Amino acid sequence: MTEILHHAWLGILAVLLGDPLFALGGYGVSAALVMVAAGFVLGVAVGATPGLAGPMAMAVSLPILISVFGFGSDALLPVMGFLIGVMKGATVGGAVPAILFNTPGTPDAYMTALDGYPLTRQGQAGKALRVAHFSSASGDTFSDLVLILCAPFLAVGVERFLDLPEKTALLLLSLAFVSAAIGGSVGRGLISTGLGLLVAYVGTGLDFHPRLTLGIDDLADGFAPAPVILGVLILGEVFTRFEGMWHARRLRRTPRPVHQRLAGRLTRQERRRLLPHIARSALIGTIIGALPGIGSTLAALLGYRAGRMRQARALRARAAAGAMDAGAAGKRADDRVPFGEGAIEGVAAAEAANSSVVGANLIPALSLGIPGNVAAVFLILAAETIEGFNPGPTAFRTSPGLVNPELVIVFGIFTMMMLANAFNWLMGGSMMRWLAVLSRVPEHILMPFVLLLTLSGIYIQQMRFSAMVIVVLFGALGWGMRRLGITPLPFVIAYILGDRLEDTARQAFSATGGDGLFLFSSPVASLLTLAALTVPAVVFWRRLRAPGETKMGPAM
Amino acid sequence: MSGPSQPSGRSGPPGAFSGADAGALAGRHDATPNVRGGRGRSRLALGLATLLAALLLGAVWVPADTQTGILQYARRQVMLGDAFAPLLAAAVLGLGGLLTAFERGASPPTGVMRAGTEGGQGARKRALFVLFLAATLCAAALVVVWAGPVLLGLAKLAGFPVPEYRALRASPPWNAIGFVLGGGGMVAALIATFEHRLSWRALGLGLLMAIAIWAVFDLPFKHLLLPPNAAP
Repeated sequence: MTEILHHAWLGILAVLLGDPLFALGGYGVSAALVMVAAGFVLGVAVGATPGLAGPMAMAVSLPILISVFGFGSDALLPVMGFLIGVMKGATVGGAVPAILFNTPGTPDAYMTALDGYPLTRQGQAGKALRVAHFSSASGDTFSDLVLILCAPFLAVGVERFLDLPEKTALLLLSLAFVSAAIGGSVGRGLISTGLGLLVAYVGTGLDFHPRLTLGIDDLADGFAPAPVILGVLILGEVFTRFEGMWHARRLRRTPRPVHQRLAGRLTRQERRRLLPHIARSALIGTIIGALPGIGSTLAALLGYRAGRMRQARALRARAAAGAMDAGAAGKRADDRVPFGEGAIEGVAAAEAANSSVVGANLIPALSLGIPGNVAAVFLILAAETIEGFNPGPTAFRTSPGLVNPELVIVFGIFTMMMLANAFNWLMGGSMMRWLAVLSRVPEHILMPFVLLLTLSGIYIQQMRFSAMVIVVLFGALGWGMRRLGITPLPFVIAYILGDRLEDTARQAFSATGGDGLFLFSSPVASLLTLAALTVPAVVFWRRLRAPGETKMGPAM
Repeated sequence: MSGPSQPSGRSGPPGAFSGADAGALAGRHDATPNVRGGRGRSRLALGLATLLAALLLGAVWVPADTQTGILQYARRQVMLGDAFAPLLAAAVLGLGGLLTAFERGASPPTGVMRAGTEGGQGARKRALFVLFLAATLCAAALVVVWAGPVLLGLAKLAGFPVPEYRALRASPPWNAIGFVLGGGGMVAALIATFEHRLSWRALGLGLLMAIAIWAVFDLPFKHLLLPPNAAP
C-alpha cells in the first residue's frame, strides 16, 4: 500500500512540478497544468459548437501536440493532459447548444435538449445551463473517483489471476462485445472488427518477409496508426457530413441568438432536489461507461428514463396527497414539472449520466489497455506514439524499493483528471455561458476547416505527402462504412488491439506447448472464450426475434 | 460522433432535435417497410459480398502473401505462423458477412444508409459527390505543390532576379504560398459548393483559415513544416 501511495505522490508531483512551460512571478508553471487548462477551454468551445465534438478535437490536436512536444517520455503528461482537458470540456460544453438552440453539440446531449430547450423557451436558459454544469461536473467527478479506486485493483487482479491463455480470451471477449454492442447490427459490427484486424496485420508478422503487402514496399512497415484512425474516424465523418450538405437543397439556418440574460442562480433547495437524480444517473453512467464500446448516449437515455419514472411517481404521489388535503388542492408545493416540459431534474438526469461515462470509460483503457470509446482510443494512440507508457496491467506493477515510471504516469493522469474537474467546477459554468456564441457557427464552414486542419496535422507529424493520401483513403473507407451502416469504432478498436491479440495468442500457444485448444486450457480461459462466442450469438438471436430493441447508442 | 440530427417537426430552430430522435436513439426507428424491400436486398448484397471477400482473403491472398502458414516449426518448437492472424481476420469478416446476410431489421447506426433505396438518381448524385470531392482534393494538392514554383517562375519571366525555389521554400512567404493558396482554395471551394453560390466571403474565409493555421504552426514552431515544405 505504501508503494502505491508513494507512486501516487510522485504522480501528483510530476504534474504540478513537471517541466515548466513558462515562468510566472519567478515560479515555473508546469506544462501539464497549462495543457490541462488549455485543453479544457478548447473542449468547452468544441462541445458548444454543433458539428464538432471532443473526439474530433482530440484527433486533430494529437498529431500537432506530438509534433510540438516530441516523442520522448517528457511529452506524455502535457499531451495526455491536453487530451483529458478536451475530453472533459467537451462533455460539459455539449449541453450549451442543446439547451439554447435545441441542437445538441454532441450525441451525449440529445436527452439534455428534451428539457433544456423548453426551459430556454420559458426564459430560464441561465438556470438550465447552471443545472447542466452542476450535474455534469458532479457526474464526472464521481466517475473519476470510481476510476481511481477501481482501475488499480482491476489491473492487479488481471495481472495476478490471468495467464496468457486467459488474456487472449479476454481480448477476444472485448472484441466480441464491442462488435455486438455498438451500432444496430452484430453482422456489421463483426465486419468492422474484421476489417480493423486485417489492416492491423498488413506489413507485420514475425517472418522477415512482410505479409499482406501485395508487393508494395511502402506497406512493409504496415499502416501508421495516426492516418488510419484519423482517416476512418474523423475524415470519414467529415466526408459523411459533406455528403449530407451536398444532397441538402438548403443549408440549415444559423440559430438566432438567445435574447435573454444567462443569469439565474440555483437555490439550495433546488440543488438538494437535483441530488437524487444526479446520484442515480451518475451510477448508471459509471456502470455503462466501464463496459467497453457502450457510449454515453445510452447512459443519458437510461439515466433520463430512470429519472422520468421517478419524477412521474413523485408527481402522482403529490397529486394524490393534494387531493386529500383540500387546503393544498391545486397548489404546488414546489415547481416540479413532468420530464419533457422543462424539468430541471431532466437536464440533471441526462447530464449526470452522460458525463459520468467519461471517467469510467478509462477503466478498461488504463487497466487492461482496451479502449472503450473514441476518447480512450486517442489516449491510447497518444500512449502508443509517445514512448514510456503502455496502458494495461503491467503499468500497475510495483516492486519494493523500485519506482515504476508507468505507474507514476497513471497517477499523473488521475491527477490531471481531478485538475480538469477542478477547472470544471471553478470556471466551467462561466465558460459555458461565454462560449454560447459558438453554437451559431455553421457546419458548412466548420467541416472544411476540420478537413484542412486534419490534413495539416497529419503532414506535420508524418512529414510525408503520402501520409495525407493514406489518411484520405482511410477517410473514404470510413465514409463508405458509414454509408453501409457499418459503425467505425469496432474497426478502430480491433486495429489497436490486433497486434496485441496476435502476440498474446502466439505466447499462449507456445507456453501451452503448442496446444491447439489453449483457449480452453483453464476454467477461466474457457469461460471467457465461451462468453466471447456467446455474446454476439445472443445479441444476434435477440435482434432476430425482436428487431431494433437491443440497439445501443454509438460510443462516439 | 454523429452530429446534429436531421430536421424534425418539433418547434424550434431548423435542424433542431425532437423527441422522435430520442426514440430513434432507443433503436425504434428502423421498423420501416424498406427493411423487407430495398434495404433488405442491399443488406443481403453486403453480406454476400463480404463473405466472398473473406473467402478470397482466406483462400487466395493470405496463402499467397505470407511466408509462413498457420503453424510454423522453428528450433524443434511449434509456433503460430504469420498466416494465423490474417486468417482470424478473414474468419471474423466472413462471419460478419454471413450474419449480415441473414439479419432482420438491423438498422444502420448513423441513419445515413439509403443504398439500394434511392434509385438511380441517388446513385448518380453520390457518384457526382465522390467525383467532386476527389477533384477538389487533387486540385488542392496540385496547387499546394506547384503554386510556389509557378509563382517564382512567373517572377523570373517578369525579369525579377530570384534564386531557385529550393533555396527559398523554407522562408516566408514562399513557405506559405502553396499551403495558403491550395488549402485556402480547397476550403473556399467546399464552402461555396455547400452554399450553392460563389462568393468573396467564401474565398475570404478559406484564405483566412489557411493563414490562421499557418500562423499557429509556423510562427511559434520553426521546426514544424506545413505542406509541401517537408517533401524531398
